[in-house]
Amino acid sequence: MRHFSTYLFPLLALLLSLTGCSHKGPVVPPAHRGVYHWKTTYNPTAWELQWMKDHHVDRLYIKLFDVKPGKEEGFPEWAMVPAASTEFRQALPADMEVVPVVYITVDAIRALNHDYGNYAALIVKRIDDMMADHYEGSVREIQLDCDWTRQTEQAYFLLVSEINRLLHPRHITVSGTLRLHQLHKLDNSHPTDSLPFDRTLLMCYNTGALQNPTTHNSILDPDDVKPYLRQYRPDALPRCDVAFPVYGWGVEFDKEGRFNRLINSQNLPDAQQKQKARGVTIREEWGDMRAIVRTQELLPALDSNRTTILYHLDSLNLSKYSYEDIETIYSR
Amino acid sequence: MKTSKLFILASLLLAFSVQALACGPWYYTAEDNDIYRLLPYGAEGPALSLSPDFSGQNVALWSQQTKCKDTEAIRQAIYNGTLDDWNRLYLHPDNSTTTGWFANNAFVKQLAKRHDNDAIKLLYLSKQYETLRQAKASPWYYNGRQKSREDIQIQSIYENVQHWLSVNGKKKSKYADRYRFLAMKCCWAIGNPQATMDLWETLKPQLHGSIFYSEAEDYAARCLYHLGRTKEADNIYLQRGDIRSLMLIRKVDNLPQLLQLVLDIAPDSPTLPVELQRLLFSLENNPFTLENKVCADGYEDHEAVLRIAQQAAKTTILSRRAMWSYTAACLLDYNNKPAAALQQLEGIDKLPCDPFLQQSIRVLRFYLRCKTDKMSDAFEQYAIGELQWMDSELQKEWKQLSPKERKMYQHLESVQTGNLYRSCFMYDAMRRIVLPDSIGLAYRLALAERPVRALQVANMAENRFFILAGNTLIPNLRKGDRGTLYQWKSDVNQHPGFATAWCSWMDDDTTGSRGCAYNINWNGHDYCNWMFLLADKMEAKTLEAYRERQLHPLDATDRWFNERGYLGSDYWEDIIGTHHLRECNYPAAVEHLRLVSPAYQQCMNLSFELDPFSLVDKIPNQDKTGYRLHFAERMVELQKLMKSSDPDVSGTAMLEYSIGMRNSYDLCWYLTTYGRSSVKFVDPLQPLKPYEYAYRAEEAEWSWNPLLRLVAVNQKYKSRHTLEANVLQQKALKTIKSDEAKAQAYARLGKYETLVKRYTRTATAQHYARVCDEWRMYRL
Repeated sequence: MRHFSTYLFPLLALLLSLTGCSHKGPVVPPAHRGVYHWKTTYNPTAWELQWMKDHHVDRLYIKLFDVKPGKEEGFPEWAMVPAASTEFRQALPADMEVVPVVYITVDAIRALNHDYGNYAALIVKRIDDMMADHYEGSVREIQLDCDWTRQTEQAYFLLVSEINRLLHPRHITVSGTLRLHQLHKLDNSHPTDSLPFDRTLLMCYNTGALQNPTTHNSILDPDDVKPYLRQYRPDALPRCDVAFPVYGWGVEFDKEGRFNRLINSQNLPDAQQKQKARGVTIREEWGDMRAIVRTQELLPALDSNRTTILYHLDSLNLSKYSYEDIETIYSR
Repeated sequence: MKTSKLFILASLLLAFSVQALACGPWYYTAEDNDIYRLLPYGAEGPALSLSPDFSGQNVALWSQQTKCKDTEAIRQAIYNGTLDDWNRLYLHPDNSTTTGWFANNAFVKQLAKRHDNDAIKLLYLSKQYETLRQAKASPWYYNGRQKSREDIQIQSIYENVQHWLSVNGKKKSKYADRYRFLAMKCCWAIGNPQATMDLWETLKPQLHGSIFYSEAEDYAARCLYHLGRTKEADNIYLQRGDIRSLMLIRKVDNLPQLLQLVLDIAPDSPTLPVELQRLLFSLENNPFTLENKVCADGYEDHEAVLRIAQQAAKTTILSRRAMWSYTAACLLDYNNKPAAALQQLEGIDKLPCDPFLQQSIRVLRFYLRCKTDKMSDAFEQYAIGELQWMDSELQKEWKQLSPKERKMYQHLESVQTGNLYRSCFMYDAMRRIVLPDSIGLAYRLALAERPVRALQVANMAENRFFILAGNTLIPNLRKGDRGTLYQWKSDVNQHPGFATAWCSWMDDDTTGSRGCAYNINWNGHDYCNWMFLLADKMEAKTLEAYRERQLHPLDATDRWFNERGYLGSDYWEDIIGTHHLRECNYPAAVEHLRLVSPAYQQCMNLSFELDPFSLVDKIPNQDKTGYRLHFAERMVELQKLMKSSDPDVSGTAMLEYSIGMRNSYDLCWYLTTYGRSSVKFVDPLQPLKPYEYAYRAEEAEWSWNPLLRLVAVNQKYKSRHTLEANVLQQKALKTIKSDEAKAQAYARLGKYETLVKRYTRTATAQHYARVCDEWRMYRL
């Protein structure tokens, strides 16, 4: 009897935990549909504007500028400076919620020498200035994107805290992107709780090793995603949005299997035709529908107020996906 | 236009910095130090004002207008007071809400006491304008379609100023000119060149004679250019002698042509020395700037500039003949005509010039005389006098550095990576004059058989600044600092050459009682400097003579040099002892090496890997302290044993002695040389990879680091003593009589086949026969 009880409880616990892990992904449709604009010129085509209407996209995440080390951009006296600012050839749609996004490079974080408050204020002011110039609506959320690492995590989070301090009194939500490798580093049952963001955006793309010739699909492969997600409980990611890839490219390798270059989807057919003559191989990759759906199933349950975002607004890529495909992604 | 100028300059500077980053790390040599300086470092940077003393004139005018005699208080209040300080005073002119030093500033108190509200308002609005202008010049400023907040606020300042002028302008208020000038600046800043021009036309007669005229005229020229009235703008720039602006609007880069033009029309233009300095900088630093041609567009045509300079130096009506003559002398020296350059400087002392140029002229003359004069007692005395003067000037420069800079220099860990370059002109000049190989004063003194003096001047030129700075590279100043990171130090001259200052006295740093920092990672100074290279080429007896003068100076000059040199006991005694090892004078080596702290060998950047008396079996060294000393002591002992009447003892000692002697130049080269001390990562036991090959000191043909090229085992000692060792070895084998001793000798030499065949019955042979189970061991 004693032996039996010794093994019974751990066994039950194991069974329970296994049940807990075998979730089937989000079943409640997202509250919002979003799409990223990640080009340096904002000038959407009529097709792209119509596409957003057809799919009832109510949030446009627009990257406004990058933040890079000042030294890199010719301003050695500044730790970080804005770069690659988006040029606006059209006003942002007033009937849609627009979320400005700022991409901060890891090198910029490294260059930041404890001057968090000052640079947080500069980032916020520039977002304010750019949005005031091009958007008639009011900004309710801003998003920060950074491929932070263990070494830069602390500095980045301190910068984010300063940005929070400036924006929270104005009731503006601060969201932050979360890559799968970053999620993996936050090794507790509710990883996003330790992040300084009001919401997080889980990026479900660029999951594989791009330059490895044996990679199947570096844009999204559920087998690459699985190891990062299986340890989490169903409610592990509260206040979390999720982004999926709707783009493709060609990855070119030389004869020795070394990475050569990326080929955009527009030039891909031509490059594929010439690959034999040039003695190279091209791996065509797309954000594959089955992979996206499978990844959605792998995700823990996400809250009902979430946004599903597609990366990114580009007619050449989006036209490769059917109306139903896009609806499938948005509706799960 | 200012924006476009700044943009271009910023781009050019970026191009520089990219190059500097891409090609690093640079190892600077003494020849890279600058010596052609018309202007202090940084004066030729991009932020050139055509009224360089505008701030001084401005303070003087405030003093006159407000009757406040404390000009320093005025300067502090108007330039260091913040917008918040002035805002508080503006809102409460009784000074009741200001805080800190600003509240107690004499000028501020006087303005409040006298209710000088017009001045307070003007200073508040000016500060507000400056803050906004800086915000607009920031890379973070967003220049969108709509008027920015900054523009709206500047517009508001403009309206405020205009209102004040409409009320007070006709009353001949003492501040009217200031308000007018501020109005012009605001109008330009909000992007309205036509309105700025209109304002200029109205204000021009009223501003005439005012200190603001020149600055306002510059704004007017920019407006004209923006309005397409290029000829009028050109005319203003020509009258003002603004060469850079002329280059920009004429789209020409012919420096000599523009120099001549400006010299004819505006010979006192402040841009002339700046352009000449840029040219001299480019010439002097051409390895870095050749591809960029940025610092001076007339780089390729310096001959034409030389002709202009020589002509201008002769033109008696010009006020800056000294500047032209100095430039001509520099260009002649650049053309490798030092005697002509020296001649060019004749009579220059009688011409009026500023104190910095006076100093530069004296330095250049010293430099040229070091190149041209024959070495004599009289010249040596002259040189010492000049070095003493340069040292006193260096001390003045040091005092003028900011606390931040001083702290950085205190923690530099090497001079060779360029951290110190273009910081103190006298330091750069001293190094350039004294240290370069072959042509430097130290080398010329050495060649003229004045080696002790040569070492003294080299030691001073190399180490004086570190002593002045209290830098821990100099052992007696070390206090065990811990690692501190200093951020990139942008070159004060805005030219390439900046470098990181990374202080890595890490946790394994302990301070020795007598000498070097026992930083086992890397000693970046002791063996990576030009004074060491000079010393390394000298014989032991010369170094002993210098050490004697360090310890017992002959006269006041010796004492003066000693106070300015690096005299670490471990350092010098080890060098002298090592030189004796090189010369195979082992008893003398023992005498000196005995004075070296046991742990010193840890900071020589050397790994004493092998037992110096092992040959074939390459026994790892177990001697962690005093490796060289113990080697020398054993060699002395062996010398005694070699005289033994027992042939076996004598012959065995001879054999061991010969092995030690040969090893000291070969396998254990670190006994006789510091050859690889100046490189960090060469493992002497590993075959060198191709890219490391250049680091092999004996064979280095390393183009960018002459330090490596010069550090080498003295080949003559190596050849001579290796031969001697071989002869001795043969003699040893002949001397040894007993079979057992002979067997041991052959075993030691790795000649196993001979050992086993000839001395089969000896215990040694039988031992080897038992343990050697592979044929390859017999083949040796």
